Amino acid sequence: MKENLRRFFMADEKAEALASAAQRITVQDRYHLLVDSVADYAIFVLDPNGMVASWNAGAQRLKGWTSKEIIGRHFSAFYTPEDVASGKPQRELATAAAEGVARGEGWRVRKDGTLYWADVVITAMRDDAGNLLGFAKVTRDLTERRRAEDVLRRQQTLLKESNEDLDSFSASVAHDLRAPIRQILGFAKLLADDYGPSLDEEGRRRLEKIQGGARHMGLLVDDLLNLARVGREALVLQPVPLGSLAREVIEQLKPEAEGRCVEWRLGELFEAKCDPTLTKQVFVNLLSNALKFTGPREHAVIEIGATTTEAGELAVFVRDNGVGFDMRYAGKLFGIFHRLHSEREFEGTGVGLATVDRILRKHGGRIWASAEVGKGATFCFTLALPPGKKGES
Amino acid sequence: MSKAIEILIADDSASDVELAVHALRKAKLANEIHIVEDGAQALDFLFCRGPYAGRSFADPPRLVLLDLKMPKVDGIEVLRAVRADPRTRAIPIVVLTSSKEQRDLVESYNLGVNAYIQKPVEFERFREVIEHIGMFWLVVNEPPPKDCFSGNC
Repeated sequence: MKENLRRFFMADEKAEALASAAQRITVQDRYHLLVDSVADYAIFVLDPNGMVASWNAGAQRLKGWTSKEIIGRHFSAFYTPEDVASGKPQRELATAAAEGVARGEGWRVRKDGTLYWADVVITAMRDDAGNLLGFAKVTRDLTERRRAEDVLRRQQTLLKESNEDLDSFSASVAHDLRAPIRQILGFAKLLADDYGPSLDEEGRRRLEKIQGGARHMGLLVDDLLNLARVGREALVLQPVPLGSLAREVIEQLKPEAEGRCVEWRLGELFEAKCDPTLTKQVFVNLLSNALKFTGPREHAVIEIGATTTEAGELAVFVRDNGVGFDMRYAGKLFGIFHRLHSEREFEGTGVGLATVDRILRKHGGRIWASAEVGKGATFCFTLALPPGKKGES
Repeated sequence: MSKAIEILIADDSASDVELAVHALRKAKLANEIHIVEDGAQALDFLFCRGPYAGRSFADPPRLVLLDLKMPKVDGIEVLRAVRADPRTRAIPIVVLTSSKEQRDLVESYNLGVNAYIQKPVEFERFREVIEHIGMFWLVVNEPPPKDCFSGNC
């Protein structure tokens, strides 16, 4: 019985031995097949002293050497002369040996002397006893990506410079327009004061037209200058309680609301990390717009509050019961000089909302609006705030 | 010069000068106003040289209204020169300019300007501002005593 059992088990062990041997061969073949066929990555082995011990198709493609040429040579052949002189190859091996792995990006040299930007990972290989067997090296060619990054960076610089040029051009144009505007307004006023009485009504009316035009031009110039300045200056970010800011602006606008029935409903707003001066401008613009377009209402209601968008962003809304606007033209709302009401109905330069849009975009936020003609409008904006904070100081 | 010049206006815009003079006269603030068109003339006047060699350091204007953007020598240079010399250092200078550029504000104040006013575009406002400036420097403010212009301070 025992003899039978023994023969039975031995047969299995043999079968097992045969099976696992077959498995091992297959695994090894599979490994070779895998490593060898990877053409985008150089995967090879170094001995503990840094001599190249294996090679793959990717290594040949990337570095130019055939396996016959490179196996047995020291891997510092892949480094630039500066790196070799400073001892970088040895340092990498030392790091890998000490910490298990060494990673980095840098210039490497091909067989033909050309340079490429590489992403390198060197892993120390040890046996069960912990002895260093060698190093596994995986290198990736990032030259294309780096070139693309350089191009992108250059384009960004050009774009930034072009924007700056445009902004300072707008600023100097607007600035130089001030003097002739002052001239027109000044002498028109002197004319009206000293010679007005000798003009007939039509004459005085025409003079008014001249002054009105020049005055409007002055406002336009100021608004354009402001828009350019907003574009140029850097943000000064600090935590700002938006509720206090809104309250300040409402106070500031009280004289404009004089003699009218205006109800301000200020809900609880949150604290946001933003530029206080520019954000105040946003409130000034939106709230004075609300005041302006509720002009025809006997009882104006302007509501300011906080809300959460579908995407979970914290936003501020300003809602009024004014004349509203046609949603078909909502796309034009934030463009420069685009107005949705005629100068006759409501005065304005058409630059205010463009400025607000720019300020918010500079913060990484945005503004959007919805309205109904005759019912009112709601403007919503975000300042790219961290999610979750509401009403805390 | 028989009567002391009370206000020196340095501005290359004839139009702005006319409006400023009109405003000052209307406010009955100054009888003796002298006008120069550029910074070089302003310096000649304040340093009593060239065509103004007959002037005396002991008789400075009570107020200088200084534009910044002028040909030849600009307002900042004038300010710098006046503040650098003990004989002229104490003369009250108010910059009256179209510019509200940070750079100009910073430089002017660093050089010790007494006040910086941006010329308003609206005439009524411009008139008010000129009147205020004139009232303050010619009536309210105590002028620097003669000793301050002797060069010994």
